[in-house]
Amino acid sequence: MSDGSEKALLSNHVDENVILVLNTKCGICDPRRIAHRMIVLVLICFLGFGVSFCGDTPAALHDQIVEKLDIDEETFMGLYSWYACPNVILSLLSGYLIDRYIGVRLGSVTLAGFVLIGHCIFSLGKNIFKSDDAKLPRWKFTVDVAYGCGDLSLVFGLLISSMMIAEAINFNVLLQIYNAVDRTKSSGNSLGITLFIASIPCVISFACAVMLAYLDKRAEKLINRERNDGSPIHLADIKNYPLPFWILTIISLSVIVSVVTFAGLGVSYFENKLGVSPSTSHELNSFLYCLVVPLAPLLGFLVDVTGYHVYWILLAMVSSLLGLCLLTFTLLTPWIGTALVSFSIALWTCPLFAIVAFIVPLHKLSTAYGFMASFQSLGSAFMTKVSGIVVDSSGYFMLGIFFCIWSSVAVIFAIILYFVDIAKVSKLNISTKERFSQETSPTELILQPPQDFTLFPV
Amino acid sequence: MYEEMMRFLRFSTGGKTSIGIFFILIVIASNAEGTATLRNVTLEKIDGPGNNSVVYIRSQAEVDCLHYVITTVGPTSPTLLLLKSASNTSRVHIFWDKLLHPNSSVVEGAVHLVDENGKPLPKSPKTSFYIFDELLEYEDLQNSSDITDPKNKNLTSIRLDELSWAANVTGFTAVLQGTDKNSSKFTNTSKVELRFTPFSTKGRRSVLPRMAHNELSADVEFIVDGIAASRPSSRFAVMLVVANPGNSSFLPSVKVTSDSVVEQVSKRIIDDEYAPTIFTFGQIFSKTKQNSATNNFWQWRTVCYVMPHHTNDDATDVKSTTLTGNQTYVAPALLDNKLLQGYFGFSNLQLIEARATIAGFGKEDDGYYNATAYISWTSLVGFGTPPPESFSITVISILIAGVGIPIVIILIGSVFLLKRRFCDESRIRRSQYEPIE
Repeated sequence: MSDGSEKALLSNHVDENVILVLNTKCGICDPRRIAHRMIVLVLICFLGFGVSFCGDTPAALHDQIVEKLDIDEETFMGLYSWYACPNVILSLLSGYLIDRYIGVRLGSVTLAGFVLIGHCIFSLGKNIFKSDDAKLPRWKFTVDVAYGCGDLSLVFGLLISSMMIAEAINFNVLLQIYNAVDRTKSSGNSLGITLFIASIPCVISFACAVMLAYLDKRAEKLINRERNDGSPIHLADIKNYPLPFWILTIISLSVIVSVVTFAGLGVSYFENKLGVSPSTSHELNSFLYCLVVPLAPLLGFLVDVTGYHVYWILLAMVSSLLGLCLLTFTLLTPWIGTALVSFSIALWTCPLFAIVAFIVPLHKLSTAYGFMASFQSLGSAFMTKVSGIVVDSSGYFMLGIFFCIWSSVAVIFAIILYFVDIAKVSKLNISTKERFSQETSPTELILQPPQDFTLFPV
Repeated sequence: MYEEMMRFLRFSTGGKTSIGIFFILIVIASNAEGTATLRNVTLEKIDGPGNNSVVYIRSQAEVDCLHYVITTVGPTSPTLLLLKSASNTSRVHIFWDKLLHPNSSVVEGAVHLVDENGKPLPKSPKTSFYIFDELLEYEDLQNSSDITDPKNKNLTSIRLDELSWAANVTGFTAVLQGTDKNSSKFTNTSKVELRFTPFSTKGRRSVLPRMAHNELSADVEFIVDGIAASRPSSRFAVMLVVANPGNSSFLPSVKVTSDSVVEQVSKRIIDDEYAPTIFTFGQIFSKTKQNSATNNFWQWRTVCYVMPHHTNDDATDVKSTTLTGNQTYVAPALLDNKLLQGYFGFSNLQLIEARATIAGFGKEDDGYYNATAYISWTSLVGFGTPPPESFSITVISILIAGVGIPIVIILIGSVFLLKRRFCDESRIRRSQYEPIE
């Protein structure tokens, strides 16, 4: 970049220190360089890691919590209701608050703090809900990191991987920690101590949120990154979001209900429906999640390099439908269907949330993501109960059909999205090269970085 | 552009709906047709001297007649004899004097088929019989519900021919009830019961396990109610003896070569909507060796229920052993069986290749037999091949909608885009046209 264009981007009141930093060879210090962006990416992944880790502690220590707190299954599931129900409102409200009032930096630090405090109080034995809407600012941060859509899919893929790794570590390690603490301490509060130890990732998460806030503030000062085009967001603006946004919301709801709920019920589904042994069903369930970890960033990278986001969404939806149909309607080996479902889980987030960033203005993005998260939480909570009713009344075949129905709804809406995109000429389904070679207005320049802003230049 | 698309959708909705209804009607029609044979089914109890009786089910159609003969006369273990005759006026006739004769060699011919004039008919070429021979009890120390596990001990048996049996017919169900007033395991209300319900049409029972049936089959429910278990971890099982003498001619000078076999199969299905979480059928087929045609079948879902009112919560497993021809198990059931002596002849019984299987009830962590002291196991027995399990109308409709709707949307969208492209091109051509003047 020449000095002339640098100065064009800087505000009139930039000081000499800022120019010094921007002209330095040190990549880590320059918010525009890859090294700095990688550090931000790592911090974002750890932010997601901590929150996911804390979110899964009740499931990992299910038997111990039921025994030590002397509660029954219904009360235990009520714990999850406390956790899931407020998410429906809080996701939307927090997105709105971030966009309107507090900004993404303060928002993420606050919400990471809530997660940490909530988990600490939970470890003291109180049933307190833990807000999962700290997931929300991560999405916004990914937009900032990619600086407007260059590498969003890869970043989302890495986030999904970090969440899966957190869940895997949680399930495998937490029980070992509990048993070790139980052996060494005889005072009986081993559950509380284990949960306190499990708070460590929350502390790391909070620290990452603070560091990210600092780095973002610094980047804003150095390169004068404009985030707000001036018009304040109102909650009523949601109804003005473009049609593809609504289609994507329905698609994300359908995927959450079909594929993600299926993944959650995996063990009992494999054991009862497919007649595999308990150990094989656990292997299948692990395989389902383990395959997502390497696939998600890889597929995110492919989506970023190739573009054609709508095609990728369609591929993910068709893959999930095919996998669920194989598992429901055939007696073929379950590994094939599980691999297809796993591929779909790895793929669906990357292009879908990237498209939302393309079509919703930057300063309204948190509200948009918050609304989608609300929808997903509502669908997930409601449909988990419906799944239980379906299994009890009509068996696992009808449950498979239920998942296939939602998966086919996702396919149908992905097809509709494709035609809507062509009809509206909204250019969601174009190659990456074409997207970044388009002429843009100065306002859109924010969303369209020069070549060296992307991690992997096309 | 959206308005155009919406107009297209509204226009085609009527067509889409009518296509959907058309498909559904085809499916209903294809399910409804099939074996629409009308059968006249009668169920009667034929009383003999003393307290002896035979339950006789006759299913008459235009081209053939099916006979189910069920009895414990002898006394013998409850025996079900299936006969199929090409003569639609055939009946089973019982000579009680012969049947109850103490000399086994005299009993032959006590049970045979006759036509409407009383003239004896040749033996049916497609014959099977099923005997509920013994009630077994074992101590499930491994909590595995596996009677063949050598670590499970204390196997005892109650021979069902030692019980006192009484037969009753109510409506279309025949009930054989066995009690033993002399045994410490039986209280006043304890019993072993067999309930037979023949069918005259194709359908599906409303009671779990909701097996599909056709007009060539009958429902058999085996019940153990209130029998005292010896130990807290006891489980019960029943030994079923099966044979398919088939085309055996039983001529005295000719060595019998049976051309039929008995096979056991475990069939897995994908659909558990009628019996949630139960995906397997146990099946025993009686087949002709030459062309593998199935003469008779015995089929059950691998589930039994531990309460009289069957619910999903009261379901537990049925595990069956592989068929064995071990004469230790098989011979006692056959040789002393008056019904079989009466139909086949005592000397021929030794030539019949019978097989035995043991169906064990229970699964791990279900509280053992003592949790409810009740077992109900339902099977379907019949002629020919078992009725196929099919999807319900709901599932078929969902499948049609799931495939049809995306195809319709793709078609509509493609037509809409082609139309728009055609209009755009013609508009561009018109705008490029310059008049000569």
